[in-house]
Amino acid sequence: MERKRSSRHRQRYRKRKTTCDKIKDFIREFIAFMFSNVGIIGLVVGYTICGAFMFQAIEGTEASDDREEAIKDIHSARSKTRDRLWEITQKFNVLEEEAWREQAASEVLKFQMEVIDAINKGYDGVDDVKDLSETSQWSFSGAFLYSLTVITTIGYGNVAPKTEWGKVATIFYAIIGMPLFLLYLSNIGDILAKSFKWSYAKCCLCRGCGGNRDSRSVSPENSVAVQVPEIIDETDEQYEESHIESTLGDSVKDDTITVPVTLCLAIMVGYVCGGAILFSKWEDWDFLDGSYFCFISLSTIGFGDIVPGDQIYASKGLDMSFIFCSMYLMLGMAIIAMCFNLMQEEVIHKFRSCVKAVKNCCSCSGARDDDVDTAPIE
Amino acid sequence: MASSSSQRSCQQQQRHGKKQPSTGCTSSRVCRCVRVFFGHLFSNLGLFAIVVGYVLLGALMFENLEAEFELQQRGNIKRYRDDCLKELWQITERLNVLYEQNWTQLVHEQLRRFETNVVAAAKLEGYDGKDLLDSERQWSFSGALLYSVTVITTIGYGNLAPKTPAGKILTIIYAVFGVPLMLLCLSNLGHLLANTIQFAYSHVCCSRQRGRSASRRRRHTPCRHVVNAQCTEEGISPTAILTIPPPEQFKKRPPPPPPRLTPLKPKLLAQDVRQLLVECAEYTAAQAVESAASHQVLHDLRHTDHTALDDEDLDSASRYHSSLERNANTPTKQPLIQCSPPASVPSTTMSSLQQRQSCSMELPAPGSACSSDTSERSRSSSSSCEAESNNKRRRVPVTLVLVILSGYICLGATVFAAWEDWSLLDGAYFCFITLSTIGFGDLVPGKSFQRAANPDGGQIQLVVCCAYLLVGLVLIATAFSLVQEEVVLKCTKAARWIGISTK
Repeated sequence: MERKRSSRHRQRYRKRKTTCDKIKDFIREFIAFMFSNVGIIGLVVGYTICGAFMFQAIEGTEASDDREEAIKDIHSARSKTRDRLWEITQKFNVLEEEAWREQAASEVLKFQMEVIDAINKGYDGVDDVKDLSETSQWSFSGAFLYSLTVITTIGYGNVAPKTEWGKVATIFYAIIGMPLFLLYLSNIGDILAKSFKWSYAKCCLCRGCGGNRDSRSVSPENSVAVQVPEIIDETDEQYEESHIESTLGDSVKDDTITVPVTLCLAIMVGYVCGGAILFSKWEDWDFLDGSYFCFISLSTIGFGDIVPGDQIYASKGLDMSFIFCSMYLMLGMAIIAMCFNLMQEEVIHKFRSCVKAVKNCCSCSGARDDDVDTAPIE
Repeated sequence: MASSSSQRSCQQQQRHGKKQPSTGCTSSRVCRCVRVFFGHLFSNLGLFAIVVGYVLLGALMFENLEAEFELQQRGNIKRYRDDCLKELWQITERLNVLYEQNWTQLVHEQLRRFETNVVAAAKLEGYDGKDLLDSERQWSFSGALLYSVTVITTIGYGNLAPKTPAGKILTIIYAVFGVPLMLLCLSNLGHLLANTIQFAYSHVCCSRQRGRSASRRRRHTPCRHVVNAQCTEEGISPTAILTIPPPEQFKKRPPPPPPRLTPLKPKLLAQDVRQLLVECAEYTAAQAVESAASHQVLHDLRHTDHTALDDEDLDSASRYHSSLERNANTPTKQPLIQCSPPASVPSTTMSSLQQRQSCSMELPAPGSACSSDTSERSRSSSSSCEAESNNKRRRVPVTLVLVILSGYICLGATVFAAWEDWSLLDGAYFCFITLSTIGFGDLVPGKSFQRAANPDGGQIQLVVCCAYLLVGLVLIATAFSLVQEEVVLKCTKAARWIGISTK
């Protein structure tokens, strides 16, 4: 009797232990998935969304306060100038153009200075206080784009924190976000590079063999998906690479297939031009402005002088263009990481062969002297 | 005959080994000169000079392209103002009887239109509110210099941006060549500085270790007797005996005959003695003398007691092993004495045997390295230092690097806050945003010079900002180079702890 009770007790204890372990395992798997190749996209997007909410909360109210103030300043400046001009006009019983103009000119100049000051404070032409909320810079999509520019280090600057808390939050947000984004770039760039190499090799084979080879059972998605998560088991990855090699066939080895540099450059240029066409259509820019914007954003220089959504004040348009811009940036930087990954081998190989050629050239002439010297000893 | 031929072959070997000065051949000299030149060109100093030249060239080009447009903008604003005035005058003239309401309404409209023009100019064309007659320009030489630096470092402030089509195209081309150049230069300089700092740090640590190693040597001499006692206690099964003799005995010794390695009983040995045995066994394995036996010894030492030889020891041992392969001098002062006493040898004869062999029996090394070894060992403190540095490469700790970086940011913050009349937080925010290459451009030094009396003060500030930028980026590259290994190690450890990686 006692033994049965003890065995039952042991079983119950084991069950409790396994649920605890199950939870731990589940958490571990979840974290592993989040930091793996596919999950990191979700992690980056989630981090940006959190940042958007945070910055909207910190800066949104403050910014609208500032802009309200700027609008009030403009209104007062306008009415003040108007009244002064009226006084000037009234003073002259006989209106002489020159004298009147002199005095009016100084007034208008003062008005101009005040407009410039208001612009520095955040005035951007929106006159009515009622319209402020619709055209706020710190709407959700604006804050989302801002967070994205912080972690990608693009840093446009057309939207920038003005409060102290906003600045401190930006610093800490960047400290955590930049390594995260670099991790995203390296992982996704790796995946994209591998799949691109695989499909390029397939294309090469198909063109070379004239279509004799029947389609393999292994599709690129499968092989890539099995590689996910990369971090978990490097031995698995090696197996997968050899598996890909075997599917490519005995005649073509994996290491001899390198994607040519021109193709990678063409992909990058094509992406920039495609973005330029889209943005110039949407934002009413010309093609040069569009390509300039795409290049400056993707190289993370990010001036911020031209940003989509600047000129359109319709609320719907603003959101769409910001979101599209964010997606374009994330995808574009992943593609650039992929191209760098693909070009790396080729560029290093070419550089090494150049150096070797130079060395050979120099040592050839040197070796000839050595032979001359050692010949009589023999 | 044999000796002379061997001598000749030795000479031949030496000649092939050493670099021969070519006496009369000019082409080889030219080749060498060219090689040296290219080596220097792509060395650190050459790269840095190239970058500086590129930045100056860019500054000149952009100044020429964009300064005109800026002046044009100022002219435009003046034109808007004149137009506004003209309209106002016409309004005043037209109304013969001036009713305030009508007049003010019309004036209001005009002012509004003028204001819209000014806002458009400021936002889209980069108008900064200055007049045509003002001498200061945004696109001065130092402004263009800062602009070029921000382009090739991908900071990209944006307070100054090209507005002409030619300027935009030139910016794109300038960035395509300048960004990789800058990255190359930064990584080279970073590596150079990192090596220098690592070297200096290990030397500083080394000089502190010297005192400790001297005391440690003093501690080890009684160990000899302990080991001997154990050896004698063991009696029947042969053991390897380790002694650490004073260095003077190594001066003039012929290379001893190769020892016979006998199986060990590591459990009975003391902790540090076992560690020394591991090192010596590694050394033997490296020298490939009686490799099978030495590997067996190593195997025994490693696998009998895991608690003694944990990961760190093995790591240091393997690093030590690899460092052995790199340089031929003796890594350690502690030689291994093998005595294989027969079972019946009494303790007295064993001790006399030891005294005769007297511990200077070192493991046989290749003949050429023999003399160098003995001379090495005669230099006591420096070689122990080298042993230390070879055994455990002193890595600069991450905290020190972080402290240096934050110190640099704080320095920049105080300087810029004082100059630009910012708060300290604004200064730190500016430094951080600049050095992380985010570069918003809302706070840029030199803007306040618009309000200052002297225009030249602003230019100096811009140049100082450029210099601060470049030095800060080099520091960051150095920091990455220094802490890379350790951070990766810690991350893999953390990943293993969480359970992500099963390796």
